[in-house]
Amino acid sequence: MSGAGADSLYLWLAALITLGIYSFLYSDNRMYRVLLHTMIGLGVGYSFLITWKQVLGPMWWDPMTSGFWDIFNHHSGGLNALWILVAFLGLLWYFQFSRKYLWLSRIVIGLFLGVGAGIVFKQQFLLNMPQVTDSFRPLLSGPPDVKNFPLPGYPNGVPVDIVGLGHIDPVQSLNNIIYVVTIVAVMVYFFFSFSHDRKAIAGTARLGRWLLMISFGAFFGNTIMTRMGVFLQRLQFLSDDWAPSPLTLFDRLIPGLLYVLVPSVLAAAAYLLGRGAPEAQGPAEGGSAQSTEQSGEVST
Amino acid sequence: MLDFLINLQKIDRRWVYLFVFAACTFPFAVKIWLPLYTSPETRGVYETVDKCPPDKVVLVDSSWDAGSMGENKGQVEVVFDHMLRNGTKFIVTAQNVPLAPQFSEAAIEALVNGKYKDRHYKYGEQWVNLGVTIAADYIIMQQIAQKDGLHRQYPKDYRGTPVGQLPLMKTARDLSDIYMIHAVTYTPSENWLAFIHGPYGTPITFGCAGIQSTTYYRYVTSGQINGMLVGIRGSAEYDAMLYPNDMKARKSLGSRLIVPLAFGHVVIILAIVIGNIGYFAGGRRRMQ
Repeated sequence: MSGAGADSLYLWLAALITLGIYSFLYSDNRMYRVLLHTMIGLGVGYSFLITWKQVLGPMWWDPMTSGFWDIFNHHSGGLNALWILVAFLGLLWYFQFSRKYLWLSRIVIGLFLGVGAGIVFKQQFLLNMPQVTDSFRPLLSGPPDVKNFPLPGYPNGVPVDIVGLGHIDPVQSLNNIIYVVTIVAVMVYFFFSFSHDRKAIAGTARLGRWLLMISFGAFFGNTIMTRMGVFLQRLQFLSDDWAPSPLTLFDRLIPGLLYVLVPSVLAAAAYLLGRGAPEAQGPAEGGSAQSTEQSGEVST
Repeated sequence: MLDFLINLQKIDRRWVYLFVFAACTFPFAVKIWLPLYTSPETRGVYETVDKCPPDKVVLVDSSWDAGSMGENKGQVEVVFDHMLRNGTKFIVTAQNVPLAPQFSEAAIEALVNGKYKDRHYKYGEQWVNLGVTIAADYIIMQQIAQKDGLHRQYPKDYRGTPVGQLPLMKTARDLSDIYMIHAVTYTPSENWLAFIHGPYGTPITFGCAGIQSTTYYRYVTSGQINGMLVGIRGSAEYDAMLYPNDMKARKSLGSRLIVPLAFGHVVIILAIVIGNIGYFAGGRRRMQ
């Protein structure tokens, strides 16, 4: 097959798989499931291959085998053969399957726990200490000053005792006040060591709850944006890459193909929805039940 | 009338899908441009990349594949575009995403053989793709911070060439040769801050999925990251900064998707409003 022909085939294959996956939006179906399982299988197989070719091969297997080669040929560099110890260490994990030799797997588990604890300690300290420092902000401040980049300077506004009362930036000051009030209110909301019956505490905790709700709203909005991003990229592929693709085959049809395709899809979807069947169902249990019903299988 | 309003809550969700599809498709068929406001977090990334000194390189950790292509592809495209325009040299790596290097390679090749063809940029001199590493990210980070760490962590590049043979890698040996790190993936690792920015002060910028951005804003305000590209919006804003007066020059995926995104959001906002009208109408019925 020529290069252009192969490209066209890949393009059509990708487009049909995309449409097949999106057929789930109408209802669960066998084509969707077949494509889903194919995709998972391909992903696992490809990942294994890449892991071997780009990681285990050049970083472990090649040095180890060259080390043994050097030993057998009495060359220097035989120390690389010690990489085989890593394999022994890794194999200890598999003693999880043996009751008698389970203790051997605990050696490597202990090793991992120790490394993990050390790493997390360093990580949390270096990640969160700047956050604690940042929460101390001048409530009355001038504009931010970061001219000594990449040094941090005053990204949240220069304190008023440095710039003077005449240089207060009202927007930056308001920002800092909101930031500090939010921290205090949310921390009070999550502070359960004393009663929330007192008016001041209850009011602050209620404010903290409202502020949390606002942040959850921001999370939800961003979630929609991400989901739309995934969908739009596929739509862009269909409209920009696939829809004009018969260009090389049917020269005259090209300019209008997209405009024919889109109304056709819309009309077909509206027709199917207008028929009112099948009922919209949940993605997991409902889908499986319907699939079993359609295939005529009887659950035992 | 009240029954009609209550029934607004019971619209089959597939109608919503259909309206979203129709709204998002329209801008693909008819080219529309909307004005863009550049956010401070995007400006932070732009200014950091722009200040790269000529004797340093930028490390782009481009760890994304088809799953987050809609958001992440644009975020590397615009930064690659910026660096190629400035003549900044860069290294591309990937962590734990086997398909990532080929996506990055395609994005760079498209720019080098398209917009910057007359500059005759060559692989190995202007940029290097070091491929993927499958390991805990903090191990990779600690490794590249050591002397000659890049060479030890990546003995061969994505194309199988030993890194010692690449001209760019002769001067870029470890973290001390790297000016900044731009980490682009669905969820950029916070370990960049703990293990690279914290101890060594290397500027870090993120490109992340919109859904993750809410948790990362605190790092922008604290100065732990210099900036962040948020979803499609981030790359479209960056593209607008690159080409402020020439909308047709904005070729990144972010610029292509930002208008359909706005149309889709309008439908979703309308759906939320309609659903709430139904909800409050139902409340009134219960009170009656």
